[in-house]
Amino acid sequence: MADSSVSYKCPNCGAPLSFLPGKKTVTCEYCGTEFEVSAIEELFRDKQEMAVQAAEAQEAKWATEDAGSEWTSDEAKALHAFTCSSCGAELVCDENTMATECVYCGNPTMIPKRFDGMLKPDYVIPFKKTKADAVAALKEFYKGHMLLPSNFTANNRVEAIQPMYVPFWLFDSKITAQADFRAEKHHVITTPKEIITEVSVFKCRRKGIMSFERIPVDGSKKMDDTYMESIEPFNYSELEKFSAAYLTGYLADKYDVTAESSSARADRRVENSAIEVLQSSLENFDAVQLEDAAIKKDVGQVSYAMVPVWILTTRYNDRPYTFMMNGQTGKVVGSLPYDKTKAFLYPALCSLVLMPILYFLIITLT
Amino acid sequence: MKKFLSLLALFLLINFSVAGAARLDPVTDKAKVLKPTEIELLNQKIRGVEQKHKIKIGVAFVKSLGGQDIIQASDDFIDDNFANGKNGGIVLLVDMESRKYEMSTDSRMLNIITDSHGIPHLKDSFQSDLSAGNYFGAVNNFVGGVDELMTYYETNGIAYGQRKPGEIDPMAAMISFALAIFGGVMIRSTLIGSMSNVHRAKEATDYLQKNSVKFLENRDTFLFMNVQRKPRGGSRSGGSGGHSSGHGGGGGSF
Repeated sequence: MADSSVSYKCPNCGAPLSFLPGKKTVTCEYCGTEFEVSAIEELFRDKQEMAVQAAEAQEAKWATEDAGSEWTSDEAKALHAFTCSSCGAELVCDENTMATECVYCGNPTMIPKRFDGMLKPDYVIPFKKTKADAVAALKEFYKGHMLLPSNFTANNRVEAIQPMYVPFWLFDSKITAQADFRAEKHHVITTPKEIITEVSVFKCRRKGIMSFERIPVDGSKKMDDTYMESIEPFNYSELEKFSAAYLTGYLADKYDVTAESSSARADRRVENSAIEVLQSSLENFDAVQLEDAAIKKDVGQVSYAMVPVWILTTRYNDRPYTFMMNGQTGKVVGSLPYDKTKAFLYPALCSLVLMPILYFLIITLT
Repeated sequence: MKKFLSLLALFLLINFSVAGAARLDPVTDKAKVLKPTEIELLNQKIRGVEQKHKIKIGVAFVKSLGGQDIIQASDDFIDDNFANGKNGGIVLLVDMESRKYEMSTDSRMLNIITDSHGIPHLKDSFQSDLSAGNYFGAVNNFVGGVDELMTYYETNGIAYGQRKPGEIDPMAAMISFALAIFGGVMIRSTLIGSMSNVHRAKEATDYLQKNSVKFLENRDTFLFMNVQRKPRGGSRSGGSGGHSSGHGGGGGSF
């Protein structure tokens, strides 16, 4: 039976191939041979076609052969089995997995069937940060947090560390923005007897055009939107045309949130920024308040990209803590636990020090 | 013409020559609101207090200040006539036309009869008599109040209303306690907030093409103007302005 997955193996020595962070080529870590991305694509095209057919054959008989109990339709839809082309083990993954690694032999595995029926990504930002970079960045992230429990770093073990290409929609838009502001100019006149403040009130209308390029919005339900917004920004000068070869050695998901569903998040951000730009022209006023705004999208384009993210999971007091690192820039985001005793003692100490200082200031000033 | 005469009278009153200052009685009644016997009694009482505490006290009733600022007039009045007391001087100037009064203290007296506590205490002692038209009683109580405050200072070594060294001001202590607790809560919330850098992105400024921004309309329409007037704060209490440098005091209307 043909394999339903494709392992990118070195044509020279047969070892698994990986796209190493920071390199332009696919490299065999064992014999050191380097391959151009286009050469790898050519080499494995036939294998991918075979794997697609094999996967279709397996899917056709899915959910009817179970000897125990029937899969529910939801389970059957979500779970899929593939055979590892390296060791023959059966891999189970969810419906969005495009690339993974075999849990038995660790072989990087692509699932080409998953590329069908969905859009092919336009771009990919290749990984630049390695696993060692991610672990070092996480340790650096722990530093400088006064409330971090003392034994968090001592007893802390990185339970899981996974590099993943996350599907992102990149929104380009050209807009016309119009806003009305109520603005005030204050003029203070001081006489020997009184302080006179003249407040001149204006209605200010601002209208302008502007363009935004590649506002990223993640297209994966699995990934927390707030985390994905926190690891921004990305350096788009390193954006590459998509090739499946970049995914070798990494986990990769295809999108399960459509561009249409994601667009509201991009629109919200564009609207806020557009108003900020218009308001920036009112710097000569002393107080400005937005009254009304209208944003019209003149041109809106979307592209689909795979973005590199390191996912690090640690455990403390039986609770998992997940951190994410931008695989391109190395920016780490996450929420750390805090020591409740420290959270009480430090501010209390500050209050005790502040109290006599404030008392002295009040006595001196009154 | 009437106004000119009033101004002339005021000028003569508050700009007495230095040589003439020695001859000026403590009580001057240009407004004719006191009987001669009352003036004599008050002069005697004031001289007694002056000798007791080595200070100078002046009281003047005028028909009108002719538009001159009462605070400035009271400062001039003390500087020209009652500024040579060993322990300081204080004057009370009453303008019958505007029904305003003003006390002025010199640089030594303002540390004994303070603007924050001493002057309000004096006001409380005579303002009701002024309002009731009992001018003799008002001056009598004013002088009695000065005597009381000077005695307090000489007995306790501190001005009336001031705390003894080391004594805690309960109000300041409460305010500093509340502010310190508030500061602690803010520090706690900042420290806890710093444990996470996961935040929603609110704008897309990083992705704005700066050179694509082009303004099509810039229109500012003037709607209206609001004018807010606030009296200037100063060392005095209850008046409409501040005493000149080296003076304290306070006043009000009756």
